[in-house]
Amino acid sequence: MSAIIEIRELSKNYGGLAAVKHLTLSVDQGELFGFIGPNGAGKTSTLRILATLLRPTGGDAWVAGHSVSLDPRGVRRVIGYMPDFFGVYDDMKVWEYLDFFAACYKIPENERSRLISDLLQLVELDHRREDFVDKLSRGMKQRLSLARTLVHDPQVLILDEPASGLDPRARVEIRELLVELSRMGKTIFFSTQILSDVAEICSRIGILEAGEIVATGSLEALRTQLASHRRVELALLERGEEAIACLNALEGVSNAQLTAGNHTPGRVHLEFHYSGDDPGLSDVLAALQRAGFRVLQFREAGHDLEDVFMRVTKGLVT
Amino acid sequence: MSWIAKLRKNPVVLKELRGRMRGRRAFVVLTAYLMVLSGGISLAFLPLANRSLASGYDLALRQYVGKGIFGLAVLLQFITISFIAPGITAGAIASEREHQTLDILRTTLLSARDLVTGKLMAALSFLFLLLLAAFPIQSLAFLMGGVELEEIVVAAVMLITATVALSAVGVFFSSVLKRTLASTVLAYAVSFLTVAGLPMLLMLLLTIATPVAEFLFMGGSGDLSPVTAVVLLGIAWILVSSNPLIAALATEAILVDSQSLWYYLIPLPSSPQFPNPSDLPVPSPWIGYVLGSLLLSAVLIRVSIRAVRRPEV
Repeated sequence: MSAIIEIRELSKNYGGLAAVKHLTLSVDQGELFGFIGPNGAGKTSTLRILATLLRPTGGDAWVAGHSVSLDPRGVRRVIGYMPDFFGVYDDMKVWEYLDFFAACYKIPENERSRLISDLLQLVELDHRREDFVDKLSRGMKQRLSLARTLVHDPQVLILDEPASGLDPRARVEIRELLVELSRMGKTIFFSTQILSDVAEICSRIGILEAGEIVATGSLEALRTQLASHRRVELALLERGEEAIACLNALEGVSNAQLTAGNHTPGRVHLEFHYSGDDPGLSDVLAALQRAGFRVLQFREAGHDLEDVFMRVTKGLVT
Repeated sequence: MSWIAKLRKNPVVLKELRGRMRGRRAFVVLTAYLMVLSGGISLAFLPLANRSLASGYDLALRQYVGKGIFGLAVLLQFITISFIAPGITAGAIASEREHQTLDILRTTLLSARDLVTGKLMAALSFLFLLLLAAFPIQSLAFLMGGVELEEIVVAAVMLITATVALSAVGVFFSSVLKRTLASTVLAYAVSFLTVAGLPMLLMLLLTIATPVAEFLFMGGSGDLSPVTAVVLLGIAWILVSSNPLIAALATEAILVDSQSLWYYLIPLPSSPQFPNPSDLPVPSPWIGYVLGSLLLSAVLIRVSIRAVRRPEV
């Protein structure tokens, strides 16, 4: 697959403050790419540069081959941008809102009516067609905003925190819409702070901290990258304290301890961290059995995205 | 594509007009404007009409009343437009910025030129509607007579120019400033300066300058060269042309005095080098006002487009 978004050595400084530092990243066609990071990590700056609203201090980015610095109009043709706020026009009906933006993208007048109906159907707002925009709920506004990004059938959607400030139901609806759009062949590059959003729908994620990419890849790939810091849970019949001493003496094992809050009668629950490969982990189990511990359970705890996020970020902000 | 077709195709014009004409606001503004005009004219007209009735048919008086009504209508139109134009243009771009819709617009294929001219044209369409709606009130003057066709045309051209210029000033401040409030304050300040400030300043200058001019031109000091005279006249002409009210009064004076709509001949003082200088033809001040204002408007619109186009640094 070819990269549709290519970011190379991108930097953005505000006075002496570096918001984005030599960012290099590429997103393939058709990907649903989640850009996560804490507040002030530089997500919005990166997205605004991609949307041609902000001039980079250094480096460049290309969307579908158009440089954001040299050919911003070319970029605008192929992207649909949704900022992290909903720009409301008073006195405008839902269909007029889409009609206005369709006209801004030079869609011929005779095609607009059909287009607006299709888009409103897609975002399930066809029943609110004649309502005023400022009367819609926040979730509906966000869906309308998403419909607005689609009026010119762009290849790439750049969405800044599309689910922020929404109630759980609206968030799920937006998430489903993004999946649907991805299925329709759109490349979606979106930022979020809500980890469950990316965990459930993204084909790939990038974690940004203090203006730098600290990890990138599919969630699976990131888990594997972190495999050197695997967490193992085990349950024994008895002799918990002895097992802890035994484990801590083994190579690659650290932080062996009793699991907090897990008190099944007749069982001792332990956990430890292991930095090593699979045969090594198997040897740990063998060592325990050789030492006479009666093992009931021995399993590697899966990393959820929160784990991944907490491990790769250091809590830095620019 | 013709100019009108381009205007029709500009999505901003349609959006703005849709928003402006929806609801009661436009209707209220139009009504208030017409009430101010008709109220003001009624107040001036009634005493004169009574006098006219009392004295029977007096052609000179009727013409005098006609001219008065016409002049007052134009003056009131000018003052009300000076209030309304900044109000509807000073938020043009700044409000988009405040509603955070400017960013969205800037990622579309809508050009900065289309956005700025669309906002201006939509505002002008409404303001021209106000001017047009006042025409029946203005035409009351025609019943009385005394108003020449030239005067009607020049007044219309000057009113249209003032409307364009004040709107351009509003759009300009709205493009270069971030906040609607700041933009509105400055647009009104310029408008107030045009309506009241400049004439007051000119009055002050004239009070000081008249004795000097009398000494130079009439007293015949004898040693004022025609070059100095031309420079002084040029400065005075620019000052007079810079304000629509003063320019209109001067134009009217020239029209009455020399029956010329286009220029006025000013005799230059003689000097030893130029014993018999020929009279200097000076364009009527309304021409200066119209050309100057339109030029200024074009510059302001250009700067506004640049300000909107510029990406954030």
